[in-house]
Amino acid sequence: MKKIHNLGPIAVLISVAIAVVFTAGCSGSAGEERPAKSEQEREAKLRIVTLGGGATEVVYALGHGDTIVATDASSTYPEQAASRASLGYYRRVQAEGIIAQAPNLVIASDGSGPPAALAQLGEVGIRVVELPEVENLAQAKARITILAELLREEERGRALIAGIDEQLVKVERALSGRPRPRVLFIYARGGGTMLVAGQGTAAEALIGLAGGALAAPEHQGFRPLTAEAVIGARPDVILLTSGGLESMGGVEGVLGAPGVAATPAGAQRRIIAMDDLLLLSFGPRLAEAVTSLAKSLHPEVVS
Amino acid sequence: MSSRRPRWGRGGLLLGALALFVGLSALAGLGLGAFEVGPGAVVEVLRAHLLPGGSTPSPIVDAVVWEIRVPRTILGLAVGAALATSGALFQGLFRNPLADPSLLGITLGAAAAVAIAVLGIGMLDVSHAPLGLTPEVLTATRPYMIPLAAFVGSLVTLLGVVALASGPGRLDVTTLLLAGIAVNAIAGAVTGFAIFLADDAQLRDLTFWTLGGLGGASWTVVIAVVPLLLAGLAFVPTLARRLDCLLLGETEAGHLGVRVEATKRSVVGVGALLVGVSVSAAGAIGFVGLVVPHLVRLLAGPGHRILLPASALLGAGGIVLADVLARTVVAPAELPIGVLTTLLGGPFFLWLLAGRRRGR
Amino acid sequence: MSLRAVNISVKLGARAVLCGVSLEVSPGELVAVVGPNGAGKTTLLRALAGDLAPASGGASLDGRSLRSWASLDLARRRAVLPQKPSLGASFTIREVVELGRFPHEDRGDDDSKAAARALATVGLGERADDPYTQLSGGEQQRVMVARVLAQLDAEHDEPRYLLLDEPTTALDLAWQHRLLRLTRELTSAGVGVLAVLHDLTLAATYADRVALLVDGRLEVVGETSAVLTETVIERVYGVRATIVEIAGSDLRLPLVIGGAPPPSSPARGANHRHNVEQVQPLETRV
Repeated sequence: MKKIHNLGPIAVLISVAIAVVFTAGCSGSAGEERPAKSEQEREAKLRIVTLGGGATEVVYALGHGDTIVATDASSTYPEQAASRASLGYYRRVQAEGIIAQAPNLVIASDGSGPPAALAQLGEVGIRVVELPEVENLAQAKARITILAELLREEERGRALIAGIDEQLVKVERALSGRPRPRVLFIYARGGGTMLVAGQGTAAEALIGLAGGALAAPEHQGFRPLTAEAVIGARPDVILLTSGGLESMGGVEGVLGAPGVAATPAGAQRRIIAMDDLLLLSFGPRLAEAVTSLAKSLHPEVVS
Repeated sequence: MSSRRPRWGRGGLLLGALALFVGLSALAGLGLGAFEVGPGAVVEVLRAHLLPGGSTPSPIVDAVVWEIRVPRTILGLAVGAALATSGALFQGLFRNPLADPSLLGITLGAAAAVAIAVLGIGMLDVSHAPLGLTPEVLTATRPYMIPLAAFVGSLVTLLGVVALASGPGRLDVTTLLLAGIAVNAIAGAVTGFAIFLADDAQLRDLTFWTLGGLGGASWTVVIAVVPLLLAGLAFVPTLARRLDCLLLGETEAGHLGVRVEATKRSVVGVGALLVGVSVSAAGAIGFVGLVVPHLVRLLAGPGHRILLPASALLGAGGIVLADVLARTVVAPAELPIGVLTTLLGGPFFLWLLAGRRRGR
Repeated sequence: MSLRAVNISVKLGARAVLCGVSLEVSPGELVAVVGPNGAGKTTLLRALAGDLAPASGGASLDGRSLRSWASLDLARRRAVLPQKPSLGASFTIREVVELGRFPHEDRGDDDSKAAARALATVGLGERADDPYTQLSGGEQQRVMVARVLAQLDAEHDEPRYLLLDEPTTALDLAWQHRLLRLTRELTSAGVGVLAVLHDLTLAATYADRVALLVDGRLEVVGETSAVLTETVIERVYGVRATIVEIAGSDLRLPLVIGGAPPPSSPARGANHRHNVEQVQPLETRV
């Protein structure tokens, strides 16, 4: 055999490069809205990009959903949000993709990035508002206030917060004096990886508001689930996200997880699942989430 | 025919073709993206910044081209050249076409360091101001923690592996490989443990980092990273002929006047610099270091005088092209570039292999 | 002016593989190193090539210790043909031979011409662009010979040396002799050659001097006919041999008859079953 002295493959590479230059150029521009041309037009109309499901929900709740031009993959509620241009996962957006949507305001949840991309948005003159992290009631209210001021919807913001407070007080009253069931939050993400929520997590805050007590509260953040830890936590109820429940193979799958069967929750098959975004985003539907969880924990009282 | 030197002519032709490929890829990198910019506008922006007396079409076009695409393309070219070259260097040193930076534990060592950093940053209680650092300082330095961890990780693993493989006065390549394999296993376990501990957000950080990407490109990064890579690449041609001799074996290379120990240390050092710096800037972009030199070898033979520059060119153009696709295919979102380099490089590689098997 | 080993001892672990060996190769002579397996022939060659550090003693080239030579300067003065070259990379034949030009590449010599000359010498000039890996063992050996020839092809007048470690192993009969004739041409041109050889007949035919190593010691060194005597061969190898005078030349070649050593001999590997009488040495006389 003679050695290959064939430059065909390089020719193929070059053709690919040429093809990319031309075809990607055409297809890239075909389906997109052209960015607004004039500066006045830009000023006149608010065009918002939201990064993070919770923030998106708040913007909708404040009545500015129609000004959202693009959002990230985690923004699945309300339904209209999912129909906006998707920028992918909010921690890895590309600056140019956002710029191409010609927004004049980018609302970025804690953890949005990469930082270089957000910085580049600033350089183009797009206002970027980075929100603090939201893992409890106070932070959830603070986020609503920040966004309400930003969108000059202070009135609606106050009403939103008042509504949440009112509903939470109702739940609290109904539950006063009731024993608090011990709730173990299992965060499952498939592939056999299961984490247990500890102190300082959004799950802890939500469970507390809904009249439960976090089981296994001795550690901060999330820890891998072990059979002994599950049994030692003595949960009366096991809480999961609906996605997590699915990934573990439904209720039976959870009951089959190490140690679960030996807990009170396992014995009584008290497994609760709630929509991922509703459960963990601490958005405007916080009161709804709390009420729903409280109903599951105290079916005899909350209705 | 026998008096001609077809390999050299072929090599020159290959280098020329690859230079054209790099040029086209760079044009694509500058001209294409989610934001529509006409070719004329791109030229105007470049002229405004590079030549005196130009003016830019509009601030937004100027920012998209000059602040986003230009640094991204430059970083892509440099990182692609560096990864492919380091692959060629290690394959030459180990006389093993399957060797690549990950074989020495460099890539996974960096990954493990990143995993530790990601978790560490997560556990860091900013309000307690550990080590006397103020929350402001911690917040400001957070973006640089991961690249720094990657660089330190690759350097530490490399130094560890080299120290293990260093006998009195010589570097044992077999031990180096074995130590690399062991370090890989350890680093893999550390990463696995970190992934097990990670919460969802951290897990995604780790996964995205493992797939790599040029999304972090900015002039700051370019200025920090590219000179280091260029310095490393500039040193590489001096190694070419010595690596050719090393293909005969270390003893034989020594008989030919190659200072074998110095050469091995240079190759390992330069390779690690190229990989460590690249990985710190763009994550662990897979497949390039392994496949690009292999492709070139199939086309132009094993001689390093062609292999090294051709790998650099093919790597540079390939990464930029893959990045253009990553940015445009699902625009305005972005694909991880590692997925594309593997999806593009894999079948292409198989096609070449199949061609060779048929004795084309 | 010589390549010289002075009182070299080499240890591998606790075992002494070379004990106080001194040997000198002068420009223009071919010294054959012979001896049974494990006698230390290759070790001596490697010590003279500077590949290994002796436990005591040392090697020098033209009066300077090998250690004090700059590696490139040394490579311009002496080449080494290894016993078993291994090259997995798919170089062409020409590229392999051009590797021999490495020490000269910065000096403006015409490297490709030197490589072409060397290739023509080993009869592979027409196949320069074939892949090395697809050659037979013997052809690969010839390419490696061309590589060391290319390395020694220099315009300078300083003495050059060539170390050959069992260069004929992979070669057929014709090429064994062609290679050694080639080596003689080199010595005529002033190159000092040290060749480790197994074949005593080849050694006797081509070498100026023979060094006989046994168990890491230099048993005897000297004129070929003085060293390769019937007694010595019997004592060292444990085989019977006869010295054959070649008519019309001054060659006296040892012819190994095989068979039993005398009972007094302590030689290893003795085989008493052979019947010496069955062998008819005169039939092979040329």
